[in-house]
Amino acid sequence: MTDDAPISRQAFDEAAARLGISGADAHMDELYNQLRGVLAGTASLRNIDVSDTEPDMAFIPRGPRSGV
Amino acid sequence: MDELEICYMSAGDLGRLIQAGEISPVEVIEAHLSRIRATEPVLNSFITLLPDEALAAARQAERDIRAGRYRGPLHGIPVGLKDLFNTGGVRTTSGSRIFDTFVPAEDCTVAARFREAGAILIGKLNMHQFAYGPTGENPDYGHMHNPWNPDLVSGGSSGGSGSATAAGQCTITTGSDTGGSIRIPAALCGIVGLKPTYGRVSRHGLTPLAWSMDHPGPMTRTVEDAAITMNVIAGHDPRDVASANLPVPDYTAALTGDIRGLRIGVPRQHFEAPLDPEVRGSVNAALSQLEALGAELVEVDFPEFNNNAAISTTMLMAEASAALRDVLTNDGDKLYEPVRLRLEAGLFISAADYLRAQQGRAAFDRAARRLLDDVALLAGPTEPVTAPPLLQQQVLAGEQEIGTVPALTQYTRPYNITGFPAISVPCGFSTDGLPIGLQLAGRPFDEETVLRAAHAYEQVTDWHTRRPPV
Repeated sequence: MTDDAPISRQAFDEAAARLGISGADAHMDELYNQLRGVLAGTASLRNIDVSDTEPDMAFIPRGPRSGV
Repeated sequence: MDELEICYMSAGDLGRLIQAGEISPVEVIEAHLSRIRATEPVLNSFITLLPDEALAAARQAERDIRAGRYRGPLHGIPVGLKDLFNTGGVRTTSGSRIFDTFVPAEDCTVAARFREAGAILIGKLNMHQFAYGPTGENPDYGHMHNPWNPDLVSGGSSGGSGSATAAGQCTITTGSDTGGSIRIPAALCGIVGLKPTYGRVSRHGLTPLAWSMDHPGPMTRTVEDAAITMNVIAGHDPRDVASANLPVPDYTAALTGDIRGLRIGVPRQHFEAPLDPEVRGSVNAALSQLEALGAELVEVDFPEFNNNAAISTTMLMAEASAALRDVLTNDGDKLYEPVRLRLEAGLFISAADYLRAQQGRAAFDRAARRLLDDVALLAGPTEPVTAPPLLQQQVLAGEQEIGTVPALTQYTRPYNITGFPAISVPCGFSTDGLPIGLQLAGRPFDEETVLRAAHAYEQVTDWHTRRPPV
C-alpha cells in the first residue's frame, strides 16, 4: 500500500465491518484491491468542473428540440 | 421453405408472409426450435426454453389469423426476453440460481405489450448475472458464447440476446442497457441494438441494476425490425415513475432512406481513446458511406467524454449496491465472485461522491446537449475492439492494453449518463471475421432520426446479411 492510497487497509477493515461485509482473507484482499481502484475513480470526480451545477436527482430527459 | 431461411428472415419479411398466409406461425416456431436444438449446445443463449408453450401459442396465432384476427406485424413472430424481464407464469432468474424458482405473477410491461401484439415467447435469455457485467459471464447457467467464434464473449450483459439473434435462434430479442448492455452484445455479435431514450420504454417489471440508467430496448438483425419492435413496446406506462408521457410516432415511417443534409457530429475524442486499428478503419469507412448518402459530417470537440467513466461508474456502483443490497446481504455467498465484489465495493461509495457524480452527470448532459444543438446525431465506434476471449481480463486496443470491462463500456456509457437514444448497427468485419459496430446517438426522444440514419446506412451495405458459422 502506498501513502497516497485512497483508503488504508485498517480503515477498509473497519468500514467493511460496519457495512457487514466479511469473507475469507483472499476475498477481502481482492475487495480491498478493487475498492482502491473504485475510490481512485470517485476521487477523479473532483477534477470535473461542476460550478453552478446541481445534482440531477430526478433524471428525466427533456422533450425534443425543434429544428435540426 | 428451408428452415434456416425462416430463421434468418427479418420480422418485417416474416410478418408480411404470415399476414398473407404464405407461412404459418407454427412453421416459424418449429424452424426456430429446430435451430435452437442445433446451436444451443455451443451458444448457451437460453436459461429457460418454452417449446410447448411457444408451439401452443403458434397454433392459436394460426387460428386467429385464419379467422381474420390479425394483430399486426409481430403476430406469430418468435421473441426471446432477457431473463430479467418478468414473465407471468414463467420463471425469471435475473441470471442467478438465487432466483432459480422465482415465477412472477404477472408480465412486465414490455412482455405484456409483446403478448398483446401476438408475438410468441420462445424462451428466456441468458445474461451476465444480475446484468452486472459487459461480457456475458454466468457460472450459474453457463457462460454465453459468440456465434462468430464460441471461444469469444458474446458481450453483455444481454449476451444471450446477442447470440440468439445473431444465430437465428430468435427473430427479435430484448436487452436492458445500463452501461451498454444492449449495444455491446449487438456490436460483438453483429446485430442491431437500440437503447431508446430513458423513459421511452417502460422499466416496470424488470429487475433493476441502476434505476437512473436502466434502459430496455430491442435487439434485432435489421433496423426495420428494431423500428417494428419499438412500435409495440414504446410508450407511456404509469407504473414506471420515469416513463415519459409523450406521443409515440410510427418508427417505421422514419425509415425513408433519405439522410441528405443530416448533420452528424464525430467527436474527436472517440478516436483519441484506445481503439483497434481495424475497428477504426471500418468505422471511418462507415462514416464516409454516410457522407456519400448525403449526410454532412462535422468533427466536434467533446472533452467531457473523458469524464464518462468516473461519472457512470460511481452512479452505477452506488445504485446497484442499493438495488441489490438484500441479495448481497442474504445470499452474497451464492453470487458470482466478480459480481459480489462489485456490489460490496459499491457500498463504500459515499453519499457525497454519489452526489458529486450526479453533478458531473448534469454537466456532462449539458455539454452533450450543446453538441446536439448543432448536429442531429453523434457517431463513432460502439466498441474499441472486437469480441475478446471469454474470461480474459485485459484487451489490446490499438497499442494500449486496458481492462476488458472499461474497454467494452468506453463508448456506450456516455449515453446512459445522458439518456439519449443510441443504436449499434453492423459496419464491418475484422480480418478474423469478427463483427464491428457503428454507434449513432441522437437527441432525447428522437429515435426516428437515429433509426433513419442507421437504416439508410444498412440499405447500402450487406454486413447485416452475413451469417455466423455456428
